[in-house]
Amino acid sequence: MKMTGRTAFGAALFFVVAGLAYALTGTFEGGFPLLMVAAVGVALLGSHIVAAVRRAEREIAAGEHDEEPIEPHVGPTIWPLGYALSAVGLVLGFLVDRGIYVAGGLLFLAATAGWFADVRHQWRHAQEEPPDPGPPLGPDTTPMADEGVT
Amino acid sequence: MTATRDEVLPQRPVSQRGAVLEWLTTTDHKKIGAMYLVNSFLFFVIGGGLALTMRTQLSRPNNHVVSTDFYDQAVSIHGTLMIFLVIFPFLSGFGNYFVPLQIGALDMAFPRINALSFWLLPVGGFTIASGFFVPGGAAAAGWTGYVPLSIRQPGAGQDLWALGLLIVGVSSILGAINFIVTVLRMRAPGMSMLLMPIFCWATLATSLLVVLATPVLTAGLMMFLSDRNFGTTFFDPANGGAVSYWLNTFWFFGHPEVYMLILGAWGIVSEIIPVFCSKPLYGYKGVVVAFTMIAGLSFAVWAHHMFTTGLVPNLSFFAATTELISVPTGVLFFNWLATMWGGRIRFEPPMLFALGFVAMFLIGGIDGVWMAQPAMDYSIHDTYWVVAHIHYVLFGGTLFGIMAGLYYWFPKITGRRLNKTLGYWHFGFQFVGFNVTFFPMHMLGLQGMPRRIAIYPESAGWGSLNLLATIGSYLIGVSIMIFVLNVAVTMLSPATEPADPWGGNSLEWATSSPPPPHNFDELPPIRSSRPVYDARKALAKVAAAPGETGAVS
Amino acid sequence: MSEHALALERRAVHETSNAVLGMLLFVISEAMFFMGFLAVYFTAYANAKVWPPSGISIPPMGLPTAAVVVLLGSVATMTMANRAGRLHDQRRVTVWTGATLILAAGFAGLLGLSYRGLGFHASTDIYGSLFWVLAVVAIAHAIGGIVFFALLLAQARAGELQLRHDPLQAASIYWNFVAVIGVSLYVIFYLANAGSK
Repeated sequence: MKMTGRTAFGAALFFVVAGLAYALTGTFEGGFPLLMVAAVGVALLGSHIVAAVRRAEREIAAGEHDEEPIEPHVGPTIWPLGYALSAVGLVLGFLVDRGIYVAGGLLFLAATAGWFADVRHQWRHAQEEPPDPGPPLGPDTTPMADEGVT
Repeated sequence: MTATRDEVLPQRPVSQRGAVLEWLTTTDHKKIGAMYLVNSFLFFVIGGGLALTMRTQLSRPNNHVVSTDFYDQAVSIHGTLMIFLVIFPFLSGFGNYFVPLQIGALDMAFPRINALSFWLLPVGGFTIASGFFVPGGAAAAGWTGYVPLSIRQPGAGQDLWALGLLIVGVSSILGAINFIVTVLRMRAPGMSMLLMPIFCWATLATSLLVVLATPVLTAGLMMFLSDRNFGTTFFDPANGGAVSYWLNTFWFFGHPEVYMLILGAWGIVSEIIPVFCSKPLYGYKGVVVAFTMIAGLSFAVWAHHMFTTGLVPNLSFFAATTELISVPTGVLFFNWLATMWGGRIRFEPPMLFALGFVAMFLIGGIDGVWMAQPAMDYSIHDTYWVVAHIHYVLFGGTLFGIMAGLYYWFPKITGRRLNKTLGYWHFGFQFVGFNVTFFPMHMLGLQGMPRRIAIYPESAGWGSLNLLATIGSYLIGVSIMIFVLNVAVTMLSPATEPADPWGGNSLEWATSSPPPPHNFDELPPIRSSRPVYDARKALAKVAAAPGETGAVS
Repeated sequence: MSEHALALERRAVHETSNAVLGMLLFVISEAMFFMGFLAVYFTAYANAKVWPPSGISIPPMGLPTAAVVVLLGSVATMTMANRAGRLHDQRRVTVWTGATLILAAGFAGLLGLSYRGLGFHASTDIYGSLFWVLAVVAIAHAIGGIVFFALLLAQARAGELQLRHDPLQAASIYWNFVAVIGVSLYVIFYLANAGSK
């Protein structure tokens, strides 16, 4: 993860350099700020990851107990399809009749409500029951040095 | 170690209506991945039909099989569908099905959003294609929708194109966020980033490109739609706008887009070659670095699509960055070759398609190296050279990679292996047909035949090469029919494939074919980038020396 | 990898969450989306002889300034809600989330009011086009935030945010982003052009 964070910073630096090079040689003035925002975004991702690694290092050093996070089970649900159908409403409203926009909008709101209800139900369920431990590991999980397969 | 399955899988005891509802409401990444693949193939057939129509029209000079108007619509919708509804979703579909399996996870990070990403695709795709059925016809300004032609085109077709692309764009951005979070947070214990299968790295790099570049297209499409419908003047030079705003906005997205279309295929081929050479991928870290460098550099080359517009005074900057990007790409080729060197190559269909990919993508890549030189590009921009290049990289490249992936992973998804003989016929027709179609286009480009023309005169002398290309395209059609036959015949046979039919390396081969809903009953230990290979070796060692009680190493 | 490195990797992953990382990536994509429009703005500005173009007058600053102040207030209340969430203080979470909801609605309302009676339309030059499209997109993002806060408030009142505060952290990231956009648009369209009436 630390390597990932550092790679993100490296990518951010690359975007800054590319943006500056472009600013000095280009005619689309918007290209420079676009690359700068990409740099900031990737740097934010990097700093988020690096902060997590630092917190982890601190906690391990302090001997704090590691909690397995709860990963709730997500069951089947119709609401993703509901959102997609509301997009159909957008298209048909444009093509056929403005009234269909309203139908699409209502379906969008219903899908939002339904999805949110799903999320609440799933978390209530997860907090009441023990979390899914994930697939068990094989017989020998002692980590070893890399075989050198790179 | 998961036991292999030799018995026929039990039939689904679900009613017809229940089965439909199950697919409509599923959040299981395997079902969603399968739907992605089926949806992509459906649009592939539509896009392919449009291609055959175009090739028929171009088979002779002064031909009148279709009107020029319809031809323009065909070329635009063919390009748009193939890129956004076929190539990219095929790669997303493989990613959806196999990234969680390869990292030993239960599902993607956001299963509901995953379902939403899928369902938006047929909605977006049919929106784009529905242009054929409205007055004025479908979008006809090319897949790049250049203004002012696309702004002035009457009828709803161009609006439907933009709306459909907006919907598809949302789908891919949500999917990309899902992949990045899944890969960063849901790897099994022991799987560090540098032990992750290379296909997962390819998906990660692709997803980062999508997150950074696709939203810029979304902004451009909103400006496009509002110029067409709300009287805004973004691209209207008479009122303070400029055509270059669309060009730059589109291509800032457009260039990373083409890398989104190839990275996944590089990942697939990098999985397949090691398995069918019985050797590890040579230079895994170098491949990871190459993917990362290409992803980053792809943001610094976009104006090479605009060399001849007169809007790019710093041609040399973009020429330099474009040539530079061929360096990490070249590294990939050397890694694949080095992997094959000294290996025991098995020429099963997945390997054949992977080899076809390597050879064809090499040609397509070198085409690009020529065009990256502005001096050369001034002669060949907007000619059939470009058509040859894009098809050598997207068809010869990604589609061959996709076919390789389909043959490779078909047993895992369905429990059945595609017929080998039909596979060889499919490969033969596709390889020959593809080259007969697209290689002559290099010559046509050098002879000056422009892109996107429906009719050409006899005097141009392009007739025979075009006829040859059309014959090739029909051969491609035959190859796809062979593939469909292969799938049909295979699906009628019982599902008896074991967990690991090919001798694979990565975790998807550690579970049954197809996997159970919860993916894994048990995971092998993860101590290298080839956990299933390691487990197989360990098992072989134990089996070879049954009397000893030595530790499994 | 050594056992320590693996444990660190695992721990670092536990320090992040799907919701927060997902929201961060979403916000990055939205930043690029806004930048797509602003890139056109900067290019048009850099190539224009007169900016804003003739026919465009800068609107009065009162309402937009009030909107930005309210927006920054809502960022403060959201930060407090996030902090209360980390301390598992359900009552404070509910109070601060409710305050954020009210201020966010206030922001959206003031913003909407500030668009009335403007001298230029979307078709009045590229400036008008950019202003209006960005206005619509900004309001849409504010409404999205309001809906998000309303849903959070419902969860907070039902005590569902007792054990997990990811949704609050995610909402905070989103709303901070909206604030950055809001302030940027204010600076670009009001402050920077204020000299040229």
